[in-house]
Amino acid sequence: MKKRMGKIIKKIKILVNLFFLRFFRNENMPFENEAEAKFIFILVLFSVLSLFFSFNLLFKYVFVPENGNSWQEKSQIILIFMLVIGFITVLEWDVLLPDKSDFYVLGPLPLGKGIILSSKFISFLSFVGLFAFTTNFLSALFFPVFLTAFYSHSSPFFFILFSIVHLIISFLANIFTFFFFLFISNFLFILLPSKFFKKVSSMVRGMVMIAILSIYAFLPELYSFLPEMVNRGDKRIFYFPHLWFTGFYENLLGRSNSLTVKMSRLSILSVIVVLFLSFITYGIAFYKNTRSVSKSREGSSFAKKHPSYSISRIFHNLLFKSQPEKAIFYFLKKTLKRSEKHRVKLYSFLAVSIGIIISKYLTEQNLLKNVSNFKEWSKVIYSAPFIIWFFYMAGLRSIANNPYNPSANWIFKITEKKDKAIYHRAIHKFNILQNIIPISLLLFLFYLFVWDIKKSLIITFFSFFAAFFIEEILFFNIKKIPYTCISLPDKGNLKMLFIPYLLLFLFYTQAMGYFSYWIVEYPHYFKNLLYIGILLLLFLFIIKRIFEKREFSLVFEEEPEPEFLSLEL
Amino acid sequence: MLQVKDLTKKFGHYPAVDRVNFTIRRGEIVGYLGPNGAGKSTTIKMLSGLLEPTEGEIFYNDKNIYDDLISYKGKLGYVPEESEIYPHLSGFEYLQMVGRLRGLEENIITEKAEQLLELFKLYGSMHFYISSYSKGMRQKILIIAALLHNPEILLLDEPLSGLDVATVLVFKEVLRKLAGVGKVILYSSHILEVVENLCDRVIIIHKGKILADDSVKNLKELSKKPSLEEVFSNLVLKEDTEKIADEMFKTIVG
Repeated sequence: MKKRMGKIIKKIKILVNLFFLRFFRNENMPFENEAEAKFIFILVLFSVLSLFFSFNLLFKYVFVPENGNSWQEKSQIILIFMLVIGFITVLEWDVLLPDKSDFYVLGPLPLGKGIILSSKFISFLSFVGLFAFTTNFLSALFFPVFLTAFYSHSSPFFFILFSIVHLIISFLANIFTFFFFLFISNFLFILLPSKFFKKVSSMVRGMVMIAILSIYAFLPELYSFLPEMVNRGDKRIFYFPHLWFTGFYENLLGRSNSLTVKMSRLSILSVIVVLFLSFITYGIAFYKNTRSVSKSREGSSFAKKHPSYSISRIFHNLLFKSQPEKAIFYFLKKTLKRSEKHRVKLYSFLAVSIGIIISKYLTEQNLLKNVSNFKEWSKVIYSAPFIIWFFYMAGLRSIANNPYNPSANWIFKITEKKDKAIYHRAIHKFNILQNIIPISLLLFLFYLFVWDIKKSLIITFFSFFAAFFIEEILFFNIKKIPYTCISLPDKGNLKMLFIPYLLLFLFYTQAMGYFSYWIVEYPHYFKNLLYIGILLLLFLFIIKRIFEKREFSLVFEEEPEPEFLSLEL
Repeated sequence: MLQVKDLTKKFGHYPAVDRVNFTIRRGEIVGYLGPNGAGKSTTIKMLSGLLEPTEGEIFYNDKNIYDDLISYKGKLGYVPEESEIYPHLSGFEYLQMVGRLRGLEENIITEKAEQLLELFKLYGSMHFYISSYSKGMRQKILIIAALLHNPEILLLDEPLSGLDVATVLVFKEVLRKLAGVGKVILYSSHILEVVENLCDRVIIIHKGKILADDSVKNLKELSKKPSLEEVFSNLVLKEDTEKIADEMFKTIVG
């Protein structure tokens, strides 16, 4: 029995190691050593950030005595770390279930399903655990340093106890977050047919990431009313999970009252419940996945006899100048539609833009006081589409560097055309038809909800032009077919140009915000802007015609930058 | 006519292909034989323009292919050794993409692809993603993709790998017919029997160098061996195969 257990543990160890390494050694990261170094860098960054947050939150206690109100800082740090862990869990949750390659590689080996299930789970837990440890460790030292003196027992023993309590509470909060999202992922997988799960999952992941970033942006607002609610004994405070753990924290440090006791119970109960639910659902989801992965046969639903087939053919003839252009267009369309890794990365860019918009809005106005005046809420509404476009287009450009399946690129090499304008036309058409136009329509619908049709049309039209120009700038000099080229993970020149880019972004959002405010409020100026737009388009058209004649070879593997550009400047 | 002169490819200092010379005339099927790592796939990759030679030249119809590589590639049909193919597309979508990249008209792509899929018994699976295909099914897609544009030159690197017997027989016959209409065909394989049956001429390569280049009949006569397998064994496998098998068996059994 002992020997058998030893064998099982040995197998689990090997698999955990394999799955853990896969977090950095995958097709997204062709330069393994750099990926690992990058991971260590991110961990260090997180620990430094936790130090920074702790210091910022607690520095006031050097000058002002703590009168039992440090729960606010404790709860803020708990919430921030919960958001970090939540974000990482959501970002990587698809690794929990075995994929096709696991099925083919591990299937024939004498490994029980339980061993694979446990190994997958342990590797993911270790990955998230590393983040949890690095984010919590330094704050566990900082909090006692600043706050021990304000408690009745400020002995060295109490200092150690304080650190331990801080660590325990942070870990409990992280465990709650991790298993909560795990449960959501598994529940979705069980609920949905396997075929739809991937599509729905990436959408849900995108939305959850947006929500997490929004909560982060919402922090200052939250803490402008939360203390009052706690003092009033408002029952709505129980809706905030991070407060459950804060109550437990205070309880363990000896500041007990009826509220902290309730919160403590709630925190323990919540951890037990999510643990139970996530384990149960993980088991079911794992077995469902094992079955479906071996039987699944996904396919394109667009068959030849589809009624829209002839209509699409007319559309094709109008839209594409040549057949290779059409081939590239559809390759890009299908890859973005079917590749989850590309979609999730693009959604994370979108999430950042929405996070920035919410954060900008909240700094301007107090949402809770003005919620009834929704239609007049903020000037941010004028710059919002431009922020979205900036990040969305940057995201599109960024994912263009992520190859889908580099070893299959030979087909593009062997069919390369002399006329490189074909590739540029296909990429631009894909960006405009598949991305800019649909999102513009969504923006228009949103603005219809806020404003009248005239104003909505004006701002949608204006933001469409902005998106069009950003797209032209970002994809102007592209020498690769998106999703085919293996690119270097860190481009030195991006590091060098980070500050100018940031300044440019700030200038762009401010300027565009003012411009759109101006034309929406004074629509008679719109035609002037239209003339400028037409002139710019003409200029762009001429430049493109000149550059279209350039000869170059398509790039399928990026050459390293010259040495001086890779310096850590 | 496809002509190769002093073709060399070095990876670092190691010559994977070392001063190789041969010519393939129109209508000829040439077998390219050699053990693993002999340099067969490297030669084919250079002939397809995917890999640049370190030294030497390749001519097609007396023109250096590097003078206009893109139009040369337009005349090529290439089946790679590994069935590397975009798995997120369906079989039909992949063929559609290749046809479009080759500049074929839409109706020609659809007609040819559907007919060939039907003949290769893939019609029912053509709308499933390639990720769900078996090795043989992927190989069939690669073969169809290589033939879709009616190429002048066919470079086939282990094309029968994973195919069922019926398809192998049909494909061999198709190749004969294609040679009959003047296609230039280079056929690389490990399966000596197929090469012996199919090819007019055989080139044997070992450690990057050509050891023999002649018709199967002449090779048999010259080496006084009854089959191509024995000719190959005589030229390439200097070691005692029986002795190696014996040692291998002992290692496995323990």
